[in-house]
Amino acid sequence: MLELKNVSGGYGRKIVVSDVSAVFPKGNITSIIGANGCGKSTILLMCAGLIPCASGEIYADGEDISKMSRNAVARRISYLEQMKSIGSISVRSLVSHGRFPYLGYPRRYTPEDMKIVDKALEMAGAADIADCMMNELSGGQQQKARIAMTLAQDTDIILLDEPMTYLDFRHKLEISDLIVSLRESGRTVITVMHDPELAFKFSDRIAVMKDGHIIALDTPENIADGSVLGDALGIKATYSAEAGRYFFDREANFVK
Amino acid sequence: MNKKFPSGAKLAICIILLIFTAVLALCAGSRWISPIELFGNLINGNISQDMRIVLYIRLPRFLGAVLAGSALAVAGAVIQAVLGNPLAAPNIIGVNSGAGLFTVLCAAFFPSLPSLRPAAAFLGALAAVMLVYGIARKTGASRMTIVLTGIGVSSLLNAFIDTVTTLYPDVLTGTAAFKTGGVSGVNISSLFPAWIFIIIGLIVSFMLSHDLDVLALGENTAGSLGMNVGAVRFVCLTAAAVLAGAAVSFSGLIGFVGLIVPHISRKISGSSENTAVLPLCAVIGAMFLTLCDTAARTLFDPYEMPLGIVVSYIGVPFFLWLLIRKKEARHSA
Repeated sequence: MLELKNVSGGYGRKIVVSDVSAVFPKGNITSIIGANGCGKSTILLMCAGLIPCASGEIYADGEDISKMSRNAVARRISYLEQMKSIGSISVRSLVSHGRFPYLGYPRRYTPEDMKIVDKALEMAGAADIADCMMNELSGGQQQKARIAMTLAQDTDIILLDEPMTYLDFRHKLEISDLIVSLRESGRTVITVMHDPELAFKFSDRIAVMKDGHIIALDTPENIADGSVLGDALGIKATYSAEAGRYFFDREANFVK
Repeated sequence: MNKKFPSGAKLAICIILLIFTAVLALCAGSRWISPIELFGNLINGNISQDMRIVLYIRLPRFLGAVLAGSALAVAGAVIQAVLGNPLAAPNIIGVNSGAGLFTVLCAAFFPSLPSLRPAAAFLGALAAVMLVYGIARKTGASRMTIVLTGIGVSSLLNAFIDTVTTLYPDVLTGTAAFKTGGVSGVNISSLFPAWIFIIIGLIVSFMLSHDLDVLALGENTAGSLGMNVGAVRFVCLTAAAVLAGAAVSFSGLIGFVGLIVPHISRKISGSSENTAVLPLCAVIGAMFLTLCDTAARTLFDPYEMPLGIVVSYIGVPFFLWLLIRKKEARHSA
C-alpha cells in the first residue's frame, strides 16, 4: 500500500505537484491520467523517492519513504521510467540489474538472484529473448525486458511511467495483460497512462490529475459517470454493455 | 563479433596480443634486435650495447605507452558511460587540456618538484571534467552540446597553456612535444609516481564497472534501483580524472585514445557492458599506443614522428566517422 499525505513538490523551486493526498491499496491497479504537463510523471518520481517532497509525506506500508535508505526504498518500490534507448546489453543482463538493491560488494549474483531473474523473464514473456541484445529488439520486446527487470526487483509496489506509449497495438494489449497479472500476485501497481482507453480497460481505479492536483480517484465506472474527464481532458466516456468497454468522445464545450 | 564467445577468452587473446606487441616494441627500432637475441641476453644477464638500448630507452617508452594507453582508454570509457555520450573522451571534453594546464603550471612554479606533476594534472583534469559535467547538467545539454562545450573549454585551457609557456619558456623541456604528446622522453623515474595513480585509477574503475552499467541505464532507473547516483557519478569521474591526469603528466596531450579504444572494445566485446569493456579497454589501449609509438619510431627512420601526430592521423578520421555514423553511435553508448 502506498499513501500520499498532502504531498507537494517538483523540480527545484518549481512546484509541479501540489497538496496531493491519496491512498493506493494493495492488490489494486491505479492509473493516473491527465493532460500533458499536469504532473503525472512527477508524482510517480516522488512516489519512487527520486524527487523529494517539498512538503507532505509518502508512506510505503506505513513507513515514511523519506526516512528510509535508498536501498530500502528500492527493495519496496520499483519504478520503470518511460521508454528510452539503452546501449547494447543483453536482456538477461538488463533483467539482472533488477537485483541491484540486493547485491553486496563485490557485485556477484547468488543462485537465488538467478532464479528470481529467470522467473521474472518467464512472467514478462521475455524468456525466449533472454540472450538477445536490447538494441536489436522491437519496442514491444524491449518493453517486456524492461518490465522483467522491474519484476526482478521483487517489490510490493510497482510504478510504471507510460508503459505502453510508442508500442504497436498488439504489444500494448500484451503489456496490459501483463500488468493485470501483477494484480493477481497481490502487488500495488500505479501506472501513468497517456491513453485513457487502455487505462479504463485494465485499471481498478483511475486517478485524474489536473494542474498538479488529483481531482478524482475512483473506479472507472464512477469516473466515467462524473464530470472530471471533461474537466481535465475535455473528453467524455460512455460504457457500452454490448461491447463490454468504454468509448471516448470529445466533450463539446471544453475550455482549456 | 561473436557474442557467444566468452568475454574472458577475448580478454585473454588481447593480453596475448599485447605480449607480442611488447616483444615487437622492444625489438624494433633503428637497430633491430631479434627476439631470440633479446631473450638470450636477458636470461644470461648479458648487458651488451644493444641491451642497454632495450633496457634504458625502449623499455621505459614501452611502459610509458602501456600506462598512458590503458589509462586514457579506461578514462574515456568511464567518461562516456557517465555522460551517456559515446562522443565524449578525455581530449574532446577538455580533460586532457585541464591536466596539461596544471602540469605546465606545476612545472612553472615548482620546477624542482617534477613528482608533484601527476597530482597537479589530476586536479586540472578533475576541474575540467566537473566543469563540463556541470554545464551539461545545468543546460540539460544534448550530446552535441557537451562536445561543443568541451571544445570551447579545451580551446580556452590550451590558450592558458600557451600563455604559461610563453611567459615561462623554459618550464618544460620540449613544450611543443608536450602539446603533441608522446613517450619519447620517458624514463623510469619520470613514470613515478604517475604509475601508482594509474594502477589505483584502474582498480577503482574496474571495481565500479558494475555500478557504471547500472548508471548507464539512466539516472532515474539507477536511483530507483537503490544507487546513490550522485556519489557513484562523482567517484567515477574522479577515477577518470586520476587516470587522464596521470597519463598527461608524463606523456603530454595525446588525444583520441580515450575515444577510439572504448569503441573498438565495445565492438570486440559485442556489448556495451563495462564489466567486460573496461578490462578490454585497458589491454587494447596499451596495445594501441604501443603500436602507434613503435610506428612513430620506425616508419620514418632515421626521423621520428611524434606519437601524438600518429595517433591524430588515426583518431581524427575515426572521430569524423563517428559523427557521420550518428544514428548507430547513439545506440552504442
